Amino acid sequence: MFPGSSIPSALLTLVGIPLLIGSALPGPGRNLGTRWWFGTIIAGLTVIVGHAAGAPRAMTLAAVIAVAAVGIVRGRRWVAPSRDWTAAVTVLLLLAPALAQCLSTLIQPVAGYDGIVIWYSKTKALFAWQPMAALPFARYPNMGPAQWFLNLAWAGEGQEHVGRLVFVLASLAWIWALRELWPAPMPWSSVVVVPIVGLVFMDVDPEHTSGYQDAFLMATAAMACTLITKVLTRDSGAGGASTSGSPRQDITLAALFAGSLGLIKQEGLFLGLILVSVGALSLLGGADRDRRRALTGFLWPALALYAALALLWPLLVSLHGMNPLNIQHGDTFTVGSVLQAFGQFWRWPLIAPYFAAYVRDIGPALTAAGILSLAGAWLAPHLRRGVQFLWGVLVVHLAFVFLVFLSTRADLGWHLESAFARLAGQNRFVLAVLLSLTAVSLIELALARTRRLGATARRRAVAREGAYDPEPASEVPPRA
Amino acid sequence: MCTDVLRRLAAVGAVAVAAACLGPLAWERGQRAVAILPGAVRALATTTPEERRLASYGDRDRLGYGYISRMMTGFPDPEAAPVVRIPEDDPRPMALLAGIRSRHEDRVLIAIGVSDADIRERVIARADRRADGTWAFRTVTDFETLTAFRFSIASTSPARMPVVLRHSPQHPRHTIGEWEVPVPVHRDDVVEFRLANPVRRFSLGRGATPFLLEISGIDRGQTSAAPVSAIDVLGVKIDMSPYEVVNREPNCLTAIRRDFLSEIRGRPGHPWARYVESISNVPRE
Repeated sequence: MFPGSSIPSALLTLVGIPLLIGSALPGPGRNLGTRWWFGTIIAGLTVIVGHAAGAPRAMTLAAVIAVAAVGIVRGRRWVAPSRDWTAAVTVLLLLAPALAQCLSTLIQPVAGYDGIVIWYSKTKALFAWQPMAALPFARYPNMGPAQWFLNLAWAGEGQEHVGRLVFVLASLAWIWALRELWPAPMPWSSVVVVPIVGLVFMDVDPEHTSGYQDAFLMATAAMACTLITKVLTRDSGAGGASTSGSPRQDITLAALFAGSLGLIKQEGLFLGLILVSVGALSLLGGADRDRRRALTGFLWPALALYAALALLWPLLVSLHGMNPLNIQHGDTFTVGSVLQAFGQFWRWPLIAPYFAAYVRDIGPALTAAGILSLAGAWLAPHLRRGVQFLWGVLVVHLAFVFLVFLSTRADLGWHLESAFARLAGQNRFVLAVLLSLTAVSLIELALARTRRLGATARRRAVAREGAYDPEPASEVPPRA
Repeated sequence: MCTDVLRRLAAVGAVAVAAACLGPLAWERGQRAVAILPGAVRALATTTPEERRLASYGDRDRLGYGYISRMMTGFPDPEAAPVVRIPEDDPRPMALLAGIRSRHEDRVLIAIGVSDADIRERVIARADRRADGTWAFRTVTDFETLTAFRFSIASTSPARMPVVLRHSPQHPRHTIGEWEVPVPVHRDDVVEFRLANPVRRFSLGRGATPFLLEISGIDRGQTSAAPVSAIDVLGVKIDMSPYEVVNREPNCLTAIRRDFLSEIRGRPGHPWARYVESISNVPRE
């Protein structure tokens, strides 16, 4: 659309359009990462539906701009968030890895077999606005290529490297959205924890942004996971609705992100289902009858939104004359092959070494998350449901990975070698959320106790010396 | 007070262990990020996207991006993609070029990194006998044509062996070919059976999925007295026989199918004739 656009102008549209759409979200304190993600998913949905419905390309792009305009109009109602020094410091600490990831994406062309043959080819075909059934690997979902295409539309066809910056921003926005986990004012320890988690999970390796969709899928799942965890931990007493959004809004957004997973990759449909089902069980599980009634009031609409989005891609696929039950290209996975999986447990010895390699790979993060979860569940009861939810998602997703390799009709050795690490790695966001949530809570807890112990000692000293303590700790009874 | 201290110690201890686990990793990744920056800025400032693509995908090696780009300059059909072998069947180079080429043009072949062994017939796999008496073999890499089977026959073999090649153990109903293999009366240990109609596009893009071979009526259920003791599968990786090479550069070649080339040469001034003339650097056969 704007041939010859420079990288800065492409970046402006890459950041600007999603943020403009995202500004429609109510709540002045709503996290910018969440706003960006909301805008990105809405823009992608507009392209997917417009393309599948046969709308002209120009009209679909105009619709994206119109949605952004709606965001501007709605966003004007909200007051800008107050300055937050923790945000500035976090940005500063994340600057180097963010810049490194942007630059390595720009200097590294699209790579890998699937990255080129599936995802870049689909993007180019979307750019040419080929009919849906004529797209390469037509049954594979279009959300990632739609994002890539949108950026090519602004930056020019030859600028595929600029288009892939959307995947860098997806990682950054997700890491930023981890700050959703804590109520304002942001705990200072988040300034240390979020950048460390960012460094560990937002890898600067170019394969994360080479064109493969796994990191994009993981980041979208992370958004859903973060918001569900936020509701679970706030609901348990660590803080209520705030300027950063109500539980109803958080759950609705989580449903939007979880539902969108099936629009990114086929296996995303299952990851979304895992997040939503474990999340719903966790939300309803520990609640009393009144609370449960209140929760179901907004859970049902959210579940309906999730189901509508999850079913959108299979519906579009079948409307364009393809079989939605044929899960992957060829007949690697069909409903029939999945049903046969339970008779194929003899494959376990072949699959087990890949699980072992995966556990070794995430070993440090897994160990840290395990220890922090145990300590967090013991010392901070409000974290328990969140921690249970997160471990539940991890365990069920690993069981799903096992099922995939039990049921594949492709050559097992080749399939394990080419897909296991990427598929299992899609759940790494769980560890990131776990680490952030528990580490910050435990640091704050330790500091609060230090402050309290200090206050008690000070009070004793004051009592001895007859001085006045101007800021008594909240749990120390006031002097008569 | 005592419990408070204990709880505080537990919190601090858990965070310390987590920091010990993740700190070195975060530090290493941070260092790597910082180390990437100067080189990346330099590369961005001093090279064009096209130069970076050439560096990543290779000129006459790897994906042969440079050579294929040159050969595709002036290609008469903007929607057609020639057959590209590097030496595997690989759609990546065509996907990387500008535009979309969705039509398969098998009258033109571009090959990168092809050796003499790749264009000659050779043993491409040795079949393994399965527990149910059938045979399985994998080609692992792409082979264009299946040309023959070589059976090691035991003396108990009948005069004719019905042989069926099936897609895979997962798809045993999908038959690729059926043959009656004549076994000479004065039979040798090894019988080579050449296919009258070689199987084209034999194992392209197949990976390690095994083929299934049945010697029906003989092998099934008679594993103890097998009349066939070994099977070699013969084929050609890149079947150059229908093609004539028109352009050759170190490690690369472009070839046109002979019948099409005759047609082109009979129509001077035609876009295809102009294209072939522009790329030709090999004396005519």
